[in-house]
Parts: sequence; structure tokens; C-alpha cells
Amino acid sequence: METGVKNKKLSAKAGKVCAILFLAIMIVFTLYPIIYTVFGSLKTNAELTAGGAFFPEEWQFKNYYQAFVQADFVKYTGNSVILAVSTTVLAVGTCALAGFVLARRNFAGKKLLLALYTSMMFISLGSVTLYPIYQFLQDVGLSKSMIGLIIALTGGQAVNVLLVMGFVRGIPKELDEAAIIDGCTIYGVFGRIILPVMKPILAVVALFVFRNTWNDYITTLIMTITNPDLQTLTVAVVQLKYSVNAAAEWHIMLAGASIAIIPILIVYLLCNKQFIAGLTAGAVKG
Amino acid sequence: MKKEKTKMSVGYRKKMIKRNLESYSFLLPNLLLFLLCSIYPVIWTLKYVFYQYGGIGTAAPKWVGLDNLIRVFHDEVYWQSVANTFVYGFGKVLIIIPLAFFLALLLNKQTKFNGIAQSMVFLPTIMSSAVMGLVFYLLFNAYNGEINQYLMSIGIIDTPVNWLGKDHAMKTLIITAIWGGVGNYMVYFIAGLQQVAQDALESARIDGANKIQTLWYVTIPMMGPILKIILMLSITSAFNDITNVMVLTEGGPNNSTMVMALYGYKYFFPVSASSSVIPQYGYGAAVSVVSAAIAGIVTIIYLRLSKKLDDIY
Amino acid sequence: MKKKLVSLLLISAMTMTMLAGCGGSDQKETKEGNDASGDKTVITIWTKDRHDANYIQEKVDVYNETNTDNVQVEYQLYTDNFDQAVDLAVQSGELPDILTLNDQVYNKYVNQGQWLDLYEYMDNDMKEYFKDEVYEGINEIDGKLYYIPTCGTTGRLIYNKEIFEKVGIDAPPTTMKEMVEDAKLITSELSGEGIYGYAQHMKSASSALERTLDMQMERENGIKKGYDFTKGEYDFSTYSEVLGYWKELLSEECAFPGCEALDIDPLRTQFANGKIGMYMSWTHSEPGVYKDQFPMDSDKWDAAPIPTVSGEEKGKQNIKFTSAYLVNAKSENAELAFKVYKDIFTTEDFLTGYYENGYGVSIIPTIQEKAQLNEEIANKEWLQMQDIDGVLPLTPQEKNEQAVIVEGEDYYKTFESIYYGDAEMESTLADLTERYNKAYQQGIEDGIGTEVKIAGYDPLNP
Repeated sequence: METGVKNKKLSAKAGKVCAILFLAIMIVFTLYPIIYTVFGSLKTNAELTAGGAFFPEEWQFKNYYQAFVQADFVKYTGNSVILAVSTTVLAVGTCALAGFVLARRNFAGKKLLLALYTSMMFISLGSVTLYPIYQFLQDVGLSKSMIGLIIALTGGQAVNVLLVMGFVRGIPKELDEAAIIDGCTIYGVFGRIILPVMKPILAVVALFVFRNTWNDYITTLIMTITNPDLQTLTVAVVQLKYSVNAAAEWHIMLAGASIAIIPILIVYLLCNKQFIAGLTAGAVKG
Repeated sequence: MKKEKTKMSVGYRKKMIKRNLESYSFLLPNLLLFLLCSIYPVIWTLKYVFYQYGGIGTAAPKWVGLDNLIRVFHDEVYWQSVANTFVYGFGKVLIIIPLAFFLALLLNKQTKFNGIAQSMVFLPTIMSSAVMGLVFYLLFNAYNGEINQYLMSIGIIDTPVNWLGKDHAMKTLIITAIWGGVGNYMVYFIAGLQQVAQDALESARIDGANKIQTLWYVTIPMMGPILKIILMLSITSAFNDITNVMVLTEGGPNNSTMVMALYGYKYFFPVSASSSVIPQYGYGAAVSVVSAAIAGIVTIIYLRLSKKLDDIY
Repeated sequence: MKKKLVSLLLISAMTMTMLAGCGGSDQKETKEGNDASGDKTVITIWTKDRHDANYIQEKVDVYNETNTDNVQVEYQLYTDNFDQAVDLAVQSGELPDILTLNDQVYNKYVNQGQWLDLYEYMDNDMKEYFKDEVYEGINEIDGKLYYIPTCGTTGRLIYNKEIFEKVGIDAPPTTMKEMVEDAKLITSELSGEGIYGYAQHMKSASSALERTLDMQMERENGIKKGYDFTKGEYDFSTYSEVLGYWKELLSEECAFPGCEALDIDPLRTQFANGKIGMYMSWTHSEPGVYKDQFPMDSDKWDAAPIPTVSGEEKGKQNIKFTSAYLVNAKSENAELAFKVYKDIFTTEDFLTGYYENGYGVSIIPTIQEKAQLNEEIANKEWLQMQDIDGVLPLTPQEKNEQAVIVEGEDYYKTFESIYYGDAEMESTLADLTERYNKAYQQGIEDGIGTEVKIAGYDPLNP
């Protein structure tokens, strides 16, 4: 009996050790590439290619200066910020309006529309669809402008519209009805009643759209082929790989990579709770 | 009496029209974007499946009927890319789901330490897979990547492992995909675990079930519905992962990491700045449509199977 | 009421920022344009070359300050996806006034009147000066001259003299057999120090094989990119021997680890670090690379002809033109653009400086005589054009890539499946021949392509 308890205790202890070990390995695995990027960006090229040391021998902050000045990262950072912010605003605005009306109103063609939104979540033709979008933008003269890029990056937002719709459905209808009796129009109901209640889900949409736009590679790459001046950080960093000067200068490449990931890292540190909560909301509802 | 009714209905119709107009005014901004960026490209692609076209500046689009589709079915490299997609998808899902599940079990309790650990594991999911693809290229390259140098200094290997060579490239790709996704699925699982009724766990414990038994007989079955969604998400996303492949291996060497989404893409756009492309929009469209169909079929099969799973439980 | 106001404000703020964001950026663009140009005429030049960008930018700056035509030249670098950018620009009519020559782009649009016939504006002096640079069927078509090549490049073996000495190799290999042996020797003796016999940037098969295998076949039997000019059809059957050697060359016994995933610049850094015995590359780029980008002592490396299977010269290897410019015929300022082109890019001063600084290998006899080459190039005779090099005719696919749309992978990619050892040689090559000829015939049938057959074609005298 006693040995049984002891064994049990022992195995529990072993289990705990295993669990902690597993956790430690996973955390090293997930953090290592990020730490490598950040510390690597502060090493000299020779240190990097020789490998080995974890911390830089001497902190080479001038790598960042080089990346910003030589590789034109000031411009790309500006583009990234403008794009990410405007896309987020546009996506949140359109999703809020559409999600609200889909949850609250019946109108001709609603069923068809919902079917289309849902099916678009499942039909994926991949990035080849960028070609017709590009063609269209070109026909209307937007292919070289920031506006065209914002439109392409915002896109249909099918998933987010449905997400917002689901959320609005969970808001008691009595709220709007009371407002309508008070003489509110539907615009008033939206603006005064629902919009403030929707804030949490809109924050989620905003976070994810911001992240996706900031990190997007393929759409931005293709849409900026004829106008590299609009390239974002992500695209510019990856293109460094093919550029003659940086291909061999890993410290510049890593400084570029850090410049691209640090802003999103800060956003994450500020609201990682919302990120995780948002993901959960999306998973459970969707 | 009759007159009044019609009058009313005219008024009613007017009101309905007004209501509809109001509704559409809310919908319009999103609808325009949706039509342009989601619906129109699908129609365009479906149309060009039946044409041969090399872009403006070349011959006008030529109707070729089913030729493109027939060519897809005879295209060995395409089917190799489909096979690769499955290897990639299954490899990723089979490793990432158990890993994420274990992490979720360990970090489920809301303590401060767990919160921090969760954030760390989740961190990679907010990173750009393109930028990190570049970093992984530096880490994994055979001649002076850090991974090889570490492994050699510890003495696990003597000669550099060719991580991006044809024998290992797919594994490397899966490792990076797990890195980028495990946090995501962990959070899903934690959400699922928190829905598992506490009293069921409690009664299992009172009945004398140990932890593993509780896990196996209570927790996992109760996670059924959310597990279904998680698997579904992981499968569909595996079909669409392309950025990672593009930046890290460009589908090579010798197409060993070519996945079907990238195979369609390469008939439209160059896969990298160092490769050129002879655009074949018709054929690329056909490849993409067949790929979408394959992904759709897999999803349907999965939904069927998971329904059966429901019946068992 | 207050809440309503706030939310209204919020919405309007949203839309405002949207509009402002968009409008703002637009305004900025036009404003910038105005600032730079004033009421000057702007002539835009697109280039895809980074290696000579600084040199040309200097010349452009000088031109901008000194020209009397009130012209502002804007020189723009499009290194990434140049082809694609041009394609898209042609569609939207946004093509620049002048752009660097790119074979695919040139051939694709030459029959559509996209490029200016330079003869229209060339005076007799200029015609006389460049008369040796006119190649019928290539840059002169139906009596119209579309570009003037001033430099050329071709493939060579680049090797590390120190490493060769270390293992006792006296002279660079001339046959593939020797090359494989040398590579094996270096790898077996020095891989402990991280030095390997041979490397090639195989990540992009087309980029690697264009400067290597293509040249080997041209010298071996006059077959260019799989095309047999005498027979007037594609024939890949003769590739088997050389591919057999390639397979050995890329095996672990010879090659630098990770060649499959290597790009050219990382390769060059490793070569400069003395980790690679030899590789093959273009003549025009390497001197500049080892002078400026990845400094390497000029005494340590040299160039030699690319080894072939037989080691005999049965054909010339192609000279690829670099540093040539196309003028957009559909530009509003085509005549002015020509003038700009002439004043910047065709002066003796520009061409001599270009050659002397190692940005390209001049093919113009007067420049070759005049130029004072720095030691780096002057001492390496194989960096210059020699007897084994010549300008070859265009294959059907080069003439119009849309006329030979091959089902399945192109031959470069198909070779990957051979030299990485998965595919059977003979049947794969036979299939390749069949696929290319089928596509070639289809192109002719569709009226896009034309037949290419040269009676009595002599590969040594193309």
C-alpha cells in the first residue's frame, strides 16, 4: 500500500518533470528563431556567418542605420504603416456595417448572399485570383496607387463579416426595438445602440486584419510589381535575399527582418490577451 | 375595402423598398469589395480554364475547350505536387495537433506562469511567414546555417546536413510550419478544454479514474465538437500554405517541395525574383480549379468521416 | 444624443482617414513629380541591372545638369520581376521611354511595333560607328534596328588558383572528365577544412544551366537550347553524355553542400572566402563582384573556358548581349528619348569607362583598343571575348516564347530530375524532344511561330 502511494507520487513527479521539460523544449523551439533574428541583427556579418555565440560580441546598432538608410527602409516602414492602418479601418468599417445588417434585417437576396459568403470560406483558388483583381484595378487606373493596394488587401472579408454577424445576433433584439420605438432610424440603431456593444468583436477584427496586412507578402508583392515605391517592409525584406548587396550581408537582412517584426511584436505585447481571445471567438463561432 | 387594401400594399411595398434600400446601403461598401475581390476572380478563373492565353501583348485568348483540364490530368509534375501537398498537410496536422493538445493540457489552468508561457508559444503566429521564411533560410542553409553549426558542435552530426536539399527540404518545411502554427491550435484547444464541464471531470475523479483515464474517457470525448473544427481548420489551411514554401524553397529542389497551390501560381507569376515565367493563364487557371476541387473533396470526405465519429461517441 | 454624436464622429473619422490616407498619398506623388521636373520634360529609364547602377546614375546626374534640351532623366531600378513589370506596364501603356534590353521582353514585343527603329534618328556617323554591332535577325529585323549591343557576356569556368595549387592541379580542366576528377580531388582532400571542389547555384535550374550547360552543348555540337538549326527541330538526345557528368559533378563527392538550395550571391561569398574550388558564371559580372561586393584578391582567381565532354571545339558558344537599350516607340517623346539615349549611353567616354571599370565586356572594336583595362580584367584573358565565342541565331522559343509553349516542365527543370538521379536518362530526353517539337509545331500551326531552319548551318561559323 505504502509503496503504491510512493510509486504514485514518484510517477507523478516524473510526469511533472517530463511536462516541464516538454514545455521548456517547446518554448525554446518557438522563441529561438525570433531571438536569433533580433540578436543576429546586432552582430557583425563575420560573427553571423561564423555562428556559435548567442549574444553579439559588440552590439552593432549601426546595422539598423544601414538598413534604414541604404536599403530605404524608412520609405517601406511608412508604406507599411499607412497600408496596415487604412486597411484595418476599411475592413472594420465595412464588416461592422455588413455584419450588422445581415444579423438584423431581412432583405431580398440575403440567403444567396450568405451562401456566397460561406462558400468563399471554402473555395480557395489561391493567389492566382490576384491576376484578375490586378487587371481590374489597372482598367480603372488604380493599379499603381495606394488605394488599389488597400482595396486588394482588404478584399471580401467573408470570414470577418460572418464573425461580426454572429456576434450581433447574440445582442438582445430588445435593445434595437426599444430604440426604434423611441424614434430611431436604422442608422441611429446602428450608431447609437449596436456599435458601442460591438466593440469587442471589432477589436478582434482590427487586430487580425492589421496583423495580416502587416505580414502579407504575396498580394503586396504582386500589386507593387509596377510600382516598387509602394512596397511594404515584409516585401522589401524578402526581396533583400535576391539583391546583390544584401545577399551576403546577413546582418542587414536580419536587421531588416527585425524592423519588420518588432512593430507587430509591440502590438502583440500590448494586446496579446485580445489576440488569444479573438482567436478563440473565431474558432468557437466559426 | 378592396381599394384600401391595394393602397395599403402599395404603401407596404414602398416601405419594403425603403427598408431594402436601407439594408443595401449598409451592405454596399463590403459588397463591392466582396464582388471585386472574391466573386469576380472566381468567375474569371472559371472562364479562362477553357482558354489558352499568355497575357496582353501575346495572341488573343483562344478557346481550347477541355484541353487545359485534360493536360492537368496528364501532368505528372502536377500530381507530384498534389502528393507533396498531402505529405505536407498530413505531416503538419499529425504533428501539430498532438503537440498543441499537450501544450493546451499543460497550460490550461489560468495561472500567471501559464499565461506567460501561452504568450510565448503563441508568439510565432503573429510573425510574417515570409520574413520568417527568410530567417529560416539563414538558419537551415547547409554551408553555414546555425542549426548545422550547433548540431556539429554538440557532435550529433559530423558533416553538414543538407536541410534544404531534396531529401530533407519537405521535413524542414514541415518544421517551420509547425513553428508558425502550433500556438494557434494550442489556443483553440484551450478554448475547447474550458468548455469541458467541470462537474464531469469531478465525478470521474470521484469514481477513482486517474488522470490519463479521465483524459481519455471524459476530456477527449467531450472535446469532440471542437476537435472537429480544429482538424477542419488545420486541413484547409495546410492546402493553402504557400508563402512559406515560396520564400524557403521555391518548390525545389527538383520539385520536391512543390505544392499544388504554388504550382498553379507559377503559371501566373514568377515564384522568385531569380526565376522567369512564361505566363499560361489558361493552364494556370485549370490547375487552380482542379486544386480547389481536390481541397473541396478532401473537406467533404473529412466532414463525412467526422460525422461518423460523432455516431461512435 | 451625446453617444450618437460620438459614434457619428467615429464613423466620419473613419471615412475621413480613409479618404485622407488615399488622397494624401496621391497628392504627394504628383507633387513629388512636379518638384523634380518643374516644366522640364521627364524621360524615364528602367533598368534591371544593379551592378552598373551607380556608374550610370552618375552619368545621368551629369546629363541632368548639363543638357540643354530642358530634360530631366529619371533612372529607375527594377531588379525584381523586371519581365513582369514590363508586361504589366505594356498593358497599361505605362512603359518608360527607355529600358534596358532583356531578351524575353524584346522578342515578345518586337513584332508589335513597341520598340523604336533606331535607324530613323541615327545619323550616318552613328550608323558607321556601330556597323559591326548589327546582327540581322537579332537586333536588325526587316531593315529596322531596335537596339545596339555594346557589351557581351558568355559563360566561363571561374576557379580558385590557390586551391588548385594546394592539391596539385596545374591547369584548369578542359574536359568534363577532368573537371569531375579535379572536383573530387579537391573535395576529398580539403572538405575537412570546409573546402569543396565544385559549386553551382542550382536553386534556379534555368539561371544555372543557361551559363553552363547551354554553352557546353553549343561548343560540343552546335545545339542551342535543345534546338538543332540544321534539322530545324528540337533534339535533346545528344545531352545524355554531358548530363551524366553533371550528375557526378553535383554528387556529394564533388559538390559544395547545399548546392540545390544555393543562390548565386551566397555562392560568390563562399568562393571569395576560399571555400569553393570552381564554378561557372558570366564573364561580365564576376570581376566587379570580386572587386567591390565580396572583395577577393585578384591573384587568387582566374577564368578558363567551360570544359566540354570531348574538349574539342565543334561550335561557338553564344555571346549574350548586355548593356543595350530599347527605346519605346509609343512614347510621346520618342525622338527626345532617342536623343537622351544617344547622349548618355553611346558616347565613347561612357562606353570606355564602362569597359574599363569592369561593368561589362565591350564588343566594340574601337572601344576594346582604346580602353585601359585595370589589371583585374587585363590579366585574365578568358574574361574577354575570344575565338570560341560568337553570336548565334535565335531558336524558335527565343524568337517568341509564346510560340513554343511546352507542356510540362521546361528542359532545365526536366534536367533536375535527371541529375538528381530520379529519372531515366534516355526516355526522359526522348520525351523532352517530343514535347518541345510538339509545342514548336503547334506554334507554327497557330500562326504565332515561324519555322527556323538554316540550310548548311555551320556551328563554327554561325
